[in-house]
Amino acid sequence: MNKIKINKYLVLLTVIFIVGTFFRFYKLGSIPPGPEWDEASVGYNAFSIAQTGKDEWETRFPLIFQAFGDYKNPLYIYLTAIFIKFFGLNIITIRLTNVLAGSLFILVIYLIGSKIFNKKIGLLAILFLALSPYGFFFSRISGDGIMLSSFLVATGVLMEINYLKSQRFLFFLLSIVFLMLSMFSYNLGRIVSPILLSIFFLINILNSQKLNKKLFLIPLLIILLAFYLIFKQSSLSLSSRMQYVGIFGANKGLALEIDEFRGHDKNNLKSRLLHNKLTFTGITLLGNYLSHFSTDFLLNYKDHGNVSESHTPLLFMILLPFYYTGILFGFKELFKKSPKEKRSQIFILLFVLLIAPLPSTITEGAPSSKRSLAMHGFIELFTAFGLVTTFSLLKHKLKSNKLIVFIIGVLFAINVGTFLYFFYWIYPKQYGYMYAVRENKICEVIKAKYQQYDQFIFSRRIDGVPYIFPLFCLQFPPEKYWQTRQSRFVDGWHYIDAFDKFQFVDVVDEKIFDKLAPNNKIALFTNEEEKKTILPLLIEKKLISPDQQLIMTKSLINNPKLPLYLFTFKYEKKIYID
Amino acid sequence: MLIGIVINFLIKFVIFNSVPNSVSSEEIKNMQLLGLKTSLYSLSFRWLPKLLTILIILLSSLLTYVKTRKILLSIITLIILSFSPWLFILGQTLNLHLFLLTIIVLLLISLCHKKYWIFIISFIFILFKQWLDLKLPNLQQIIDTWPLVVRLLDFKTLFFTGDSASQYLKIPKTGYFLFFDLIPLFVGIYVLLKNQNNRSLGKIISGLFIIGLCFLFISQSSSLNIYRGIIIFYSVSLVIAVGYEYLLHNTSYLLKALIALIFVLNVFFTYELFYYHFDKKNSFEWGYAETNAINQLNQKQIKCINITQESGKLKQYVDFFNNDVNFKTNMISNSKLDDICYAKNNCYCLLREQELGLIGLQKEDIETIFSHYEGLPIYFLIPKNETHVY
Repeated sequence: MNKIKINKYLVLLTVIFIVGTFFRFYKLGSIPPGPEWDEASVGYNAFSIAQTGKDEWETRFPLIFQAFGDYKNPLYIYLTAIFIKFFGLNIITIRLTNVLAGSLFILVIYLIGSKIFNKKIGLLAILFLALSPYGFFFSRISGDGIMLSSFLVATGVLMEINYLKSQRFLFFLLSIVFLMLSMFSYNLGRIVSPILLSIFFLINILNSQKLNKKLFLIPLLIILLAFYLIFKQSSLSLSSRMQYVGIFGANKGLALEIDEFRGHDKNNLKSRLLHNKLTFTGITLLGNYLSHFSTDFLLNYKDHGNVSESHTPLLFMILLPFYYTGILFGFKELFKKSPKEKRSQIFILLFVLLIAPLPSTITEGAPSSKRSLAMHGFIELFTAFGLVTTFSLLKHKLKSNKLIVFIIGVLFAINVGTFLYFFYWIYPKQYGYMYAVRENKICEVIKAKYQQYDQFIFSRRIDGVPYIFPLFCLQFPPEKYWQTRQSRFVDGWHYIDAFDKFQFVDVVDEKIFDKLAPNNKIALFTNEEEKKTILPLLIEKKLISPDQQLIMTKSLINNPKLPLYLFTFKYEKKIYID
Repeated sequence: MLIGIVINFLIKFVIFNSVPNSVSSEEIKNMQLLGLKTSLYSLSFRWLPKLLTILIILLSSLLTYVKTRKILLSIITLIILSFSPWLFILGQTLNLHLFLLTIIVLLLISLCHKKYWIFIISFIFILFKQWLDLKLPNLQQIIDTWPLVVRLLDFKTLFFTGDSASQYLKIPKTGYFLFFDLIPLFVGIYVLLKNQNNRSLGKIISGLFIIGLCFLFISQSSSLNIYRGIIIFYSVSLVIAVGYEYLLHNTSYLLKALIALIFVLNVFFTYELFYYHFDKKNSFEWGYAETNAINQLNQKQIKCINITQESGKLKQYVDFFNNDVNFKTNMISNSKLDDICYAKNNCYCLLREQELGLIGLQKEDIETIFSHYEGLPIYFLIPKNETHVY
């Protein structure tokens, strides 16, 4: 009987894992479309590492990748480099690390759930996780190693739980390693992991019978080494990100708001006492933090700055009440007279859930589903726990328990079905334009006509970082790129003005004629505004004929929001003598 | 109860009597609807919402006592509702929704022992149908309204930011409730679910919440969220009161003192923001520039002014306060500005900034400017300059 039960759970686990993995991999190369900017940058840097051992800025095996000047974390790029080495550079290989992390996440959460609660809760949790729009979406984009980082945090937690169960030191060591790795994967790891590590240390010391030296020394050495590497190489990354996304800083909304309120009171003492960083930041941080547990955020009805993340709720509506009850029962379990080890484990789960929103809390535009991805998996665990506990409590009170379970099941299926339909059919059409659609069209043209033209020109009006797309789609040899590159470094950002046949200008206007070499065949890409400026000049200089004009003023893309025009001509420079 | 009445009168009629310091165009519409007439120099029409608010607070206090026989809960309800930002701000402005809430609370007091009170209260929506522009929604409207419900019940909206769509009806940097109310809310929910003694009050609160949701769905999407959620906010306030009562009843003296201290500090912080910053943040919506302009034009003994379509809001104020206005207004078109504004007569032009350029003037050239309360110029009185050169 016992054997049959084990097999049943194993079968269900396998089925859920396969379903979850299938949906994460299905049409990976085309939904969402791409690559988008960060994906292209990650991809090319990984390609460059795979080819030469250096990144696009010629640094050998860097601990932080400068990329556009946004300092990307290294782990995702190195793992992607391995896939690129074997399978080449394409959109699937650059998304592969995250999608694998997202799939393996299912197993990790099952193990956590079954160890702390029971197999039933573990299975329910992974069912919700496998079909979670939140995890689904972030597993399929590679911009940063967000899913990877989140997966590593969860694996670190699993190892700590294993340590608490078995008291085998190896598990604690692995926990430290995974949490440390998450710090090199995405910035959320740099906030969540150190806090988790500190609390794990504390719990382990409190739980140990006698003080164990190796419990301190070896982990401490690993942590010191990791922190040394982080502060040496990547302090730039964190500070550069915080400058852009953080709520603190002289020109940020919060500081301006304090100035405004003080201005109302002519900066008197009362105003300085009431309207200062402590009060205003405190209120803002508290509001930001709590919003991560709000219906608005969890169901994703928030007005997103980033449209690409909309319609991907963290939880389906039908599961929301059980998430809340799960947290409530979680707290109740903490104060129950259960074994210390059990309470420690539940405490860890609750603690992860409560600190996971911190990276998002300190940024403007909070709550951000991306920066709070460390909640992923733990939300599902508490939802499953809430669901099972609620039903076990109501078991004797409700006559039609099975009917209610059936109704919830049907509503869950409707939720899932609606989401899948939206994600695979509607999303690519409606939100495809968010994924560098013009840049990828330019790539198509460049790939097909690289030999035909001597110069390809387009501006930063079409794309802020235009150089990365030709590099990505042509799999441009890094050495050749370094030799021909012309770049500037302005306000912390790298600007590439030219490499090989490509020239990138701030705007396409009459000044571009200075950049053209006589008798060169030119391919010039413009947006709508630039077309209006450049077309009369091209006609005036007789570079294109009226017949050509008709063809060239037809947008390459059917989307009226993102028109893209291609003007091709041979530049014959005439010398006028006054 | 008496102390509660005195405190409420002090707060509403003395300390915060002059905030907001002007009349909003929505209040003008409501006064016209109610057939009220007021002077440019008096805000006495706001006595009505203030009295209604005090009535709601007192009745609610009575209701919690009747349902639970707990004096402490009754006192806390009185205090919580007196300082709840959503009810306070509604009491500071003339609006029709307060009448609805007053009737609901009155019905609750008289019918709370009957099982059918929910239906009776729901029935009054029909009575208010015309006034509040209520309408049975179709499926699409329900689907469209759902995100609003979710957004309205967001912790950040409720306790920290309030609703961005109705900024002018909120205390700056404050939600519908004080931010410290969040903890008693959780405690209140727990107590209502767990504690048998509060069952009957819990039923009323949950009934009100459901009615509140229905009201939100049947009210017009153009209506402000603070109005649409009024019954929901009322039920949440009662839950918060239950939470405070539990905290004060079941904690040590030290904790009680701490809770009271945090509450007082929170109230002080919030109402300082209201007293000193509300008018400065929202003077555009509250028509400060318009009332101020009419007042000063009267003082200057100007007999006639020309305004354009752009100054339609000023016209609305002039028409409403016609008893106090000593000048007449003419509507002119932008194309005739040059001819009319420099004509040799007693009629002055009052223009907006964008219209100054049409007659070749800069805002620096104008001496008499009527500004918003925080100082942003809005209306420019064109001087009668005989020597003006075209």
